[in-house]
Amino acid sequence: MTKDLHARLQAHLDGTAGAGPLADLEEALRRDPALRRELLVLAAFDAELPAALRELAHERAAAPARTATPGGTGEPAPAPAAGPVPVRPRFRLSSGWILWPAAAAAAAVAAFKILAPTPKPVEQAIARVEAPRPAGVRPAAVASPEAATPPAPAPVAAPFRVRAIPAGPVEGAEAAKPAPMNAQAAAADGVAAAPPLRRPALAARAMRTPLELEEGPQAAMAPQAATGAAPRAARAQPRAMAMRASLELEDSATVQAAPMAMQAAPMAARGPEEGVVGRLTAVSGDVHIVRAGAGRIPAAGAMEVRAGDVVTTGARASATLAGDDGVTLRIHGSTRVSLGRTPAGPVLEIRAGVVDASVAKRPGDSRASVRGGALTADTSEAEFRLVVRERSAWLGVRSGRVGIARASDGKRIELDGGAGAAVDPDQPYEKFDARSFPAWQAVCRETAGTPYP
Amino acid sequence: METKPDNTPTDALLRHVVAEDAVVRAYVYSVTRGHRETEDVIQEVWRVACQKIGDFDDSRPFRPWILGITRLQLLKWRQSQARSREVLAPDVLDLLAETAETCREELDLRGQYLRECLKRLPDNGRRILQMKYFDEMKIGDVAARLRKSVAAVEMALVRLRRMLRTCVDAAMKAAPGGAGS
Repeated sequence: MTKDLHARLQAHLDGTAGAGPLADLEEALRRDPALRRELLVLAAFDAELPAALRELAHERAAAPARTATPGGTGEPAPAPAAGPVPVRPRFRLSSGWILWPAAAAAAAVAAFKILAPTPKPVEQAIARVEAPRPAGVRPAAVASPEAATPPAPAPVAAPFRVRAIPAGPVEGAEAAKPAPMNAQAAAADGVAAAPPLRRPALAARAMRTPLELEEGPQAAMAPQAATGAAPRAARAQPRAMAMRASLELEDSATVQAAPMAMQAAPMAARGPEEGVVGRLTAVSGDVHIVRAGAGRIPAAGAMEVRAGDVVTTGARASATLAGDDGVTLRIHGSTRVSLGRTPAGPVLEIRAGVVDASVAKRPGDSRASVRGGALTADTSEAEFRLVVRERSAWLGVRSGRVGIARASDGKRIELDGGAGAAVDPDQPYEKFDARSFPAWQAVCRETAGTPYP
Repeated sequence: METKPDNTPTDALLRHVVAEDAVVRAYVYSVTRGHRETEDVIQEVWRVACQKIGDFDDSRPFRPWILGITRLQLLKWRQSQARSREVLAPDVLDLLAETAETCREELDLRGQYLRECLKRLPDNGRRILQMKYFDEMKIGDVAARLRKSVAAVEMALVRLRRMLRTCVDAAMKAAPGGAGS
C-alpha cells in the first residue's frame, strides 16, 4: 500500500477527492482486493471514532478519583458494586495544613493564567503546522544576502536603517496580507514608514511555540521519542530567542531592514539593463514593485523587473512574471516575490503567498531554481505550484520533475507530476498526492482562492 | 412479565447485530462517508433485517445475508444521491461487500485497539478529534474556534489519524497471531 493510495482513500472518505480522482480510485478498487480491505479498515476507523470518543468521555467521567488510601497505595478506590459513582468532595478541610500552601500556589497560578495569555491546549497540537518560522533557522545553504543575518537576537539598531516611505492608500491593503515571514521580508516590502503593525498575539505565540512543540501529540504517542525530548527542548530555547528577536525587529518602528535594497545597489551601479531579470507581462489589480531608490511603483502592463526588486500583489491581484531564464511565474494574490541575480542566473524567491511556476525546457544539465521559505525547488522542465506560508512551504507538481532541497538541512527529494510535499523545518517531509490531499487543497483554497490543480 | 425464548428471531437477530455491527458499519461508511448517513442506512438495514429474519436459514452464515441487505440499502441510498458524482459505482459496492465478508475479526480487533490508543492521545489532540468526529463540526468551524487556518487543522487531523493508525497497527502486530496489516 503506497502512501499515495492511502492518501487517496482518505481523501475519498473525507469527501475531498472530487469526481475525477474518484474514477481513478474506483479502477484501483476493482483491481486490488488489498485496497478494498484498506478502505474498509479506514472506514471502520472513521466510523468507530465517535463511539470510541463517547465511551472514553463517559469512562473518564465515571472513573473514581485517585485518592490516598490509608495504606498509601494510591490505587483507585473500588467502585460500588451497583448504583451511581458517588461524587467525591473536591476538598477535605480536615486534610490538614498542607491544603493552605497548595491553595495559595493554585491561586497564584490562576492569577498568572488570567493575566498572561496562554495557549489553548489544542493550539499546541497544531502548532507544528502553523508556528512562524524563526528567522534564524534559515541555513547557510540558501545563498542570499539575508542568509548572513545572525540567528540570535540581532542588533536592533542595525545596519538596516532605510529611508521612510509615506504610507499611502495601498498600505491598508498590505495590512490585510498575511504576516511577513520575518523582519527582512517586511522590510523588503518597503513598508518601512508605515506604522508598525503590532501583533502581540502572534508575537506571544511565536515566542512560546518552539518549546510547546514538544508537547504535541506525536511526542506523546511515541514513547521512543521521549528520550530525545530534553535535548530538543534545549535546542528550542535559542530558537525561541531568535524568534523573539525577529518579531521585535518586525514590530519596531525604527528598524526596517532592506537587504534586497542592499543587494540591488551593486546592480544599479552596473547599469539598469544589466540588472534586469525579467518582465511583468500581465498585471491585474493591486500590484507593486518595491525598488531601491524608487519606492513602491504601481505596476501596470508590461514592465521590466530588476535584481533587488520585490513584486507584491494585493489580496485579489495577480501578475505574470516572465524571467529571463525561462521561468514564468503566475503570482497570485497576497504574494511577495523578491528578485535577485547571481552569476548562475536570476534568483526568484517567494517570500509569502502562492505562485504557479512554469519552467521551459532548459539546455543541457542546467536547472532553474525557485526559492520559497523552507525550500528551494529546482527543475530542468516542469510546472508546479509553490505555496509559502508563515512557517511551512508546500509544493505540488503539475507536470515534469522537481527537486526540493529543504532549507533547514539541505535534505533533498524528487517529485514527479501529481505529487506534492509539505516542508517544515522541524518535521519530516510530508509527501502527498497533490490531486487529492485535503490539507493541500485547503492550503490552495486559502492562499490562492482556488483548488488544485 | 413474559420473556421471549432465546430462539426467537428477535433474539437471534440481536446476537448477530452485535457480532456484525463493525463490518456493516465499516461497509456503509466506506460508501456514504458521513456519520449521519451511515446511521440512517444502518437503521434501515436492521429494520429490513427484522422484517426478513424469519426467512433466514439458520444453517447458512449470517454475514453474507446481512451484507446483501446492506448492499441493497446502499444502492437505494446511492439512487438518492444521484446528483452527486462522488459516489462509488455499484460494482465497486459489490466488491466491497465481498471483501467485508472476510475481515470481521480484524475490524473488531481494530475497534478495541482504537479505544486503547485514543486513551494514549494527549487531551488537546483528542479534543480536535472530538470536535471533528463527535461534535461533527466542519473543519472550517473547528479552525475558526481554534483560531487556526483550515489547512492547519486538516494537517493536525491527518497527523492525529496517522498516529492512531500507527498505534493500532502496532497493537495488531503485537497481538497473538500477529494479525496486522
